[in-house]
Amino acid sequence: MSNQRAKKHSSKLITGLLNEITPQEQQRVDKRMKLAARLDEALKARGWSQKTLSERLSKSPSEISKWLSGFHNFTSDTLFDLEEVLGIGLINVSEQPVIEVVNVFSFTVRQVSQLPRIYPERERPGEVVYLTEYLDLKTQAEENKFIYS
Amino acid sequence: MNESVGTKNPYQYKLKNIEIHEVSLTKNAKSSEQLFHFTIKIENKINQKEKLIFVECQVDVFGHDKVTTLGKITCLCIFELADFDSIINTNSTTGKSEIPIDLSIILNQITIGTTRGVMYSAFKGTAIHFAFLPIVDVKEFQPQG
Amino acid sequence: MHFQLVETELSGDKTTIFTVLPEGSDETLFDKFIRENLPDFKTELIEISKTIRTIANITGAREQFFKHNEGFPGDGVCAMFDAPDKKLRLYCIRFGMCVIILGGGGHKPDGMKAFQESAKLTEENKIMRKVSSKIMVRIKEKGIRWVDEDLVGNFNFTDDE
Repeated sequence: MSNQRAKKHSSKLITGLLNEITPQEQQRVDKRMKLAARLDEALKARGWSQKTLSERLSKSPSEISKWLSGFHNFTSDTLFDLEEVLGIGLINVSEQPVIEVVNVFSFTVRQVSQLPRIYPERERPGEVVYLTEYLDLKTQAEENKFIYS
Repeated sequence: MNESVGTKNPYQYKLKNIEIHEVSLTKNAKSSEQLFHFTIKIENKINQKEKLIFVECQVDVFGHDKVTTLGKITCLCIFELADFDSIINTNSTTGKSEIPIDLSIILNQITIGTTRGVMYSAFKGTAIHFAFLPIVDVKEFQPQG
Repeated sequence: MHFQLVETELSGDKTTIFTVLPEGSDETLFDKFIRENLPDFKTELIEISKTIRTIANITGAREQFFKHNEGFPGDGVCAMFDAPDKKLRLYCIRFGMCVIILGGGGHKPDGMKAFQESAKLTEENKIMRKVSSKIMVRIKEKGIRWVDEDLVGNFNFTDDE
């Protein structure tokens, strides 16, 4: 019994078409279709048919079908109505808090044996500390030290 | 709202919330693994409007080869700071906010400790049960201002 | 009808996109569809390509994105069209969310209600019905199987079987 996948076939015509699509254009279609998928999920989650939604919003079933096809360019009012009736969030208009990143530190540490060892170069020679070793540090922490046990 | 660490701590703050943003365990995690490496990433963020300081600690757990990812956890501690406006200054040259280093050290230390506890609880009983986040002295890696 | 199924570069993580390569030809049905419509409907072809790419990489072949009941009951033959004017019709076979087999199609003039009004669309539809029935038999006889949401097996089809 063959376990092979189908042969790959490359096509200059397909490549040519794909080369004409800008990332922005593709992203717009991606978002439009994801929105349609989200609506469909919300309907299924509520156990509603397209007809139920059409009745709730006083729209024709064909219009709902168009909304779910992934091709429809929604108005904001329609999206607000859908949010209301389906109880889902589609557009976020709430004010976003401004969060500023102030510091970032990153470094790598390793667990080693916890046998006590004399560490003579420390401030208090002879003090017993856990085995200390420096590992590869990253970014801002590169110049700095740390201790671990 | 008074929590002093030692006698020299001039700040008053409280832990407002702890959020666990991500906990994941990969298929690579095997209980035979004895030696772990941990990459710790700490971000200090502030919300001027709400007068809050966010300290996010992301820990990636690797195996002995330092490459194989075994698990990951991201924990966020949100601190409320008394007298926020007089403590958090804006650098006149860069226009960026600055957290005093001694305060940053305290908050980072608390967050790493919290993450260690959350991590232990999250990974308890899994293949990386013994991947305890090592004790890190934050003062040693914090850049001097 | 002799053909083989081949995988196109449109495939993504969510859906594998196949097309039909007739025996003795270098041109797949989908390539033929592009070539025939490129002079008059380039924008529409680009729209269809974008849609297929989103299906392949992001949403999967959700039922809602296709026009159904274009073939025999249950044979999976359905149609895709371009947004928003729907000037073109592309016949395909949808096997769940994970597999689409692209066929051919053509221009659907304004006001045309059913594909039977166009000889070209009728012919392309007929081909996909035949392709679908052969694949159905092959799947039933386990010559093609599902493994990890993908099809594996023998993708060469001849009339002698």
